[in-house]
Amino acid sequence: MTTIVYPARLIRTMGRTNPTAEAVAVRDGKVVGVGTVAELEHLPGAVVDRQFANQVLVPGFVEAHSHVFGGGVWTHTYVGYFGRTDPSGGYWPGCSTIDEVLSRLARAEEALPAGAPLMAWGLDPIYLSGERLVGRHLDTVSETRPIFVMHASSHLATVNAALRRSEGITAASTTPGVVRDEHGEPNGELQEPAAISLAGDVWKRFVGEFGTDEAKWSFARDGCNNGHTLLADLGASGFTERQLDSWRRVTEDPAFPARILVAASPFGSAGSVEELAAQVVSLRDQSTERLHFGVIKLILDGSIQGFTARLNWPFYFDPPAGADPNGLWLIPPEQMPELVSVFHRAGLTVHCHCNGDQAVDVFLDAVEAALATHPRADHRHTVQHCQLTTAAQYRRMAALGMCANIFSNHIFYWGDQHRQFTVGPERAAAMDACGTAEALGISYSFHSDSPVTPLGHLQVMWCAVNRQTASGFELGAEERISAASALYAATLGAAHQLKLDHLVGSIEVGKYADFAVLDDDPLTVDPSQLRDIGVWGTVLSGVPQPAGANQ
Amino acid sequence: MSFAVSAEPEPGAGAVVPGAGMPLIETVVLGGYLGAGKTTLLNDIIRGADHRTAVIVNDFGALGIDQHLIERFDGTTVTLANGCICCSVADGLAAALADLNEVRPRPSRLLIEASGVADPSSVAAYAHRPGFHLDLVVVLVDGERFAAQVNDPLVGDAVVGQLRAADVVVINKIDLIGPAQRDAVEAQVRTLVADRPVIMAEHGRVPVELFDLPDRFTATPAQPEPGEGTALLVHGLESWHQQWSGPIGLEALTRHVNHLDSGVIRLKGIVETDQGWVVVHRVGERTTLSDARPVEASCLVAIGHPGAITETALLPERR
Repeated sequence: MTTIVYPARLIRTMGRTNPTAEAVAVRDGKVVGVGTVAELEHLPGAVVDRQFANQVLVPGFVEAHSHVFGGGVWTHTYVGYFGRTDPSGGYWPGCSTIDEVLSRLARAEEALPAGAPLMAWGLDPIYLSGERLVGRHLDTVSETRPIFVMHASSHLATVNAALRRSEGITAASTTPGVVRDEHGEPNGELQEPAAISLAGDVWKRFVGEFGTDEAKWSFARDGCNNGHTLLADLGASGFTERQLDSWRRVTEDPAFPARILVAASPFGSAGSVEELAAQVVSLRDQSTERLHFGVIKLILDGSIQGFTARLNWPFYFDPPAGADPNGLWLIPPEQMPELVSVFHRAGLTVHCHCNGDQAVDVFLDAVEAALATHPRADHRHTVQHCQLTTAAQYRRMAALGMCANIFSNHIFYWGDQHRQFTVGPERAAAMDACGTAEALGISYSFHSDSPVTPLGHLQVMWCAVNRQTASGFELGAEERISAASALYAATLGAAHQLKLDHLVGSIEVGKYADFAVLDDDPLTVDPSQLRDIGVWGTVLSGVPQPAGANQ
Repeated sequence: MSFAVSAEPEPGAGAVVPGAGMPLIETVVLGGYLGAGKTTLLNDIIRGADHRTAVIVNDFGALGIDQHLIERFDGTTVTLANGCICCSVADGLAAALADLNEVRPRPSRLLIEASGVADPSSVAAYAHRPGFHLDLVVVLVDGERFAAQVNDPLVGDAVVGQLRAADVVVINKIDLIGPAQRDAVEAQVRTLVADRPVIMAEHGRVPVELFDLPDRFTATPAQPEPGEGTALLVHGLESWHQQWSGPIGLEALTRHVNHLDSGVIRLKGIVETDQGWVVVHRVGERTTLSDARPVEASCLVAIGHPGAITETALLPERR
C-alpha cells in the first residue's frame, strides 16, 4: 500500500475544515490526508514526493461548459486574432493582418501532402485592417490545393478557386449566401451553413475531425495544460453509439489526462426523448472514474453577438440591417415544459443554453411547471451562459433551486461590442453578473465554451474578477467577484452543477486526488495577474500530468 | 433528425444535373409553427406517394411523435447530428442531403419537414446544392391559433417570419373556426404574403396533387394522345393538364409562364422548345426553367382556383 505525500508551497483545498495545507497524501488515486508533512509522512507506506515543493496546489479546475471539438479544431491551422495555445503546448500568435494570415497558411500548405486540402479556423475579419480577405487572397497561397478557412463566428467560411472548382461552386450556384464579386462570380465567401456546406468533401473532412479519438485526446490535453481535471463536453449533437464507444475507448486508457462528463441532447438523437432519458439514466449508473453522464443539454436561443439570442424589451441596442427583430428560438417555447418535464421526472439534470433574458424566462417557467407537478429536491437544473439574466431572474432561480453557469469570458472577448452594438452600455455592464448571482445565493460557475473562447479557468477567473474588455474598459465593476469566489466557482461551483461535487472540486479526504499545479497563488497575486499565473499541469487520480510545454 | 427512403424504385423524368444527366431530387420544404399540421400533411403526401420519395424530419425527437407518425416506410431510418447556431459546427441537414445524394437508386423527390421554429428559408437554402432542385416551400398556418400566435411576444416574430419564405401558404384547421374568424385570418395572412397563393384546408387536408405534379410526367408516355382536361379537387381547387407534340419557342413559353393569373398556384411541365427540352416550374411568383431529358410529348399541368386555370392553356396562337 503506497501513499504519496506531496508537499507544496501552499495547498488551497476549498474545504472549510482545512482551507490551506502544507501537504496532501494520496492513496489509490484518492486524497487520504491533508495537513503537514510531519502529520502525513507517518501514514502507512508513505513516500514523500517533493516535485511540487515550489508550487501551489488547488483543486483541479472543472470546466462545466466546453466542447470536444475544441480539441478537434487543432487538426486545422489557427488563423484567429487572439493568440492561442494548442493542446501540445505550442503558442500560436494572433494574426492581425491579411498578410499574417496568408503567410501562416503558406507555411501550413508547404507541410501538407499532395492532394490534401488546407483547412484553417478562427479567422475574424472585424479585427483585420484593410480590405476584406476573399478567395483571390487565398489563391496566392495555392492555385491547385483546395483551401477552406472557417471564421471565428462559424457562420462564414472563405474558400479559394481550387476548392470552388473541385466542389462545383460556380456563377450558376443559386444557394443563398454564396457571395459574388462585381462580375457575378463567387468571390470565395460562403455565408451561413447552407452555403458553407457547399464546400462538400472538404467541409466534411473539416467537421469529420471533431468526432475522432484524437480530438478527444487533444481536448483532454488542452484541459490538462490549463489546470483542468474534469471537462464537460456540453455538445449538442453526436450522442451516438459510435461516439459513446469512442469516449469509452479513450477514457479507458490510463494515460488519458482528464475526467469527462458527456452531456446528452435530443438534438441529433435517434429515438424519442423518453428513450433518451432512459438511456442517460442507465449510462449515468454505469459511469466510470473517468467518464460521467447524467446531464441533458438543451439549446433555447442563439448568441448575443450574432443577434440571434432572445431578449426581453427593449431588445437589441443597435442591430445590423437585416437582423431578425429579436433573434430566434431553437426549441418552440411551448414545447419546453413537456421537454424539461421528461428529463426532470427521470431524475436527470437539465442544462439549458439561454443567452438572452427572454430565453431564461421560458426555461424558468418550464422548470417551475415541472416542479409543481413533480416536486424534486436537489435537481440542480442549470441556466447555461446566463449572459443577460436579471436580478429578478436570479431571485427566481434561487427560489427554484437552480444553478447558473455564466459566460464570463464574453466580458473580455465581446464586451466592447456588447456596449456599442448588441445591448448598449447599461445592460452590458450587467452582463455575466457573477456578483448578483453570488449575492443572491445562487450556486454558480463560469465557463469558456471552448473553442468559442480558449479553454482555461485562470482566464475566466481573471474576467470575472476584473471585468475588463479587450480594449481595457472596466465593464460593470459592481459585478466583480473576489478571487476566492472565482476559485470556488472554478472548482466546487462547477462540480456542484454537474452533480460530481462529492467526487471532485475540493482537496478533501475521500475525493479523487485531482489538483491544478500552479506557479503562484491565485488568491494573493495581484488580481490583474490572475491569467498570467503559470500552469505546470495537473495531478489526476494522484498521478502528475505535466502540461504540454513541460513534457 | 432522420431520413427514410420509400422502397419503390421508379425514377421519374424531370430536370437533370447539367452535364451529368442525373435527375435532380425535387425538394419540398414543409414549414410552419408547432401545431400547424405539418406532420399530418407529411403523412398524407407519403401515403399517396407512388414513386421514390425521401423524407427528412429536421427536428429533434419532437417528443417522439413525428417519426412514429410517418407511416408506410420500410426503408432504413438513419439518424444524423443536428447543428446548433452557437455550440456546434457540425451541420446535420447538409450531411443528410449529402448522404441522400449518394443513395441508389436515386430518390426522385425529397420532403423536408422543418422544425416548428425553423425559418423555412434557411432550410430551403440547402435545396440549392448540386443534385437538388427546390420545388416548393409550403408554410402551414394554424387557422385557429394564428391571431393569438402573431400577438404572442415570444413567438409572434417567428410565426410571421416563417411566412416570408412561403411559395404557398396553407391556412389549416378552418373547420375549427367560424366564417368571420376565417375571413379575418385569411385577410391577416394575405397582408403578410401579398400575391402568393393561399389555400384553405380542414384537418390538414390539402390536395396532394399540389405536391404530386411531377408524377404526371411519368404517366405521360403511356398517354401520348394530345389533349387537355380539368378535374375538381378538394376545397374547390381545380387541376388542369395539356399535352401536345412539336416544339414551341422558348421565348414564348417563358413569356406565357411569367404572365399567368395569380389564381394559378402551381404549374409544372416538360416542354420541347426550339432550344431543347426544358422543365418548367412555376409556384407563386417564382419560375424556374431547367434542362430536361426528352419525353414523348410536351406536357403542362397546373393546379389553381377555378376560372384561373382555364386561362392557363398554352393556346396554339400563343405558341
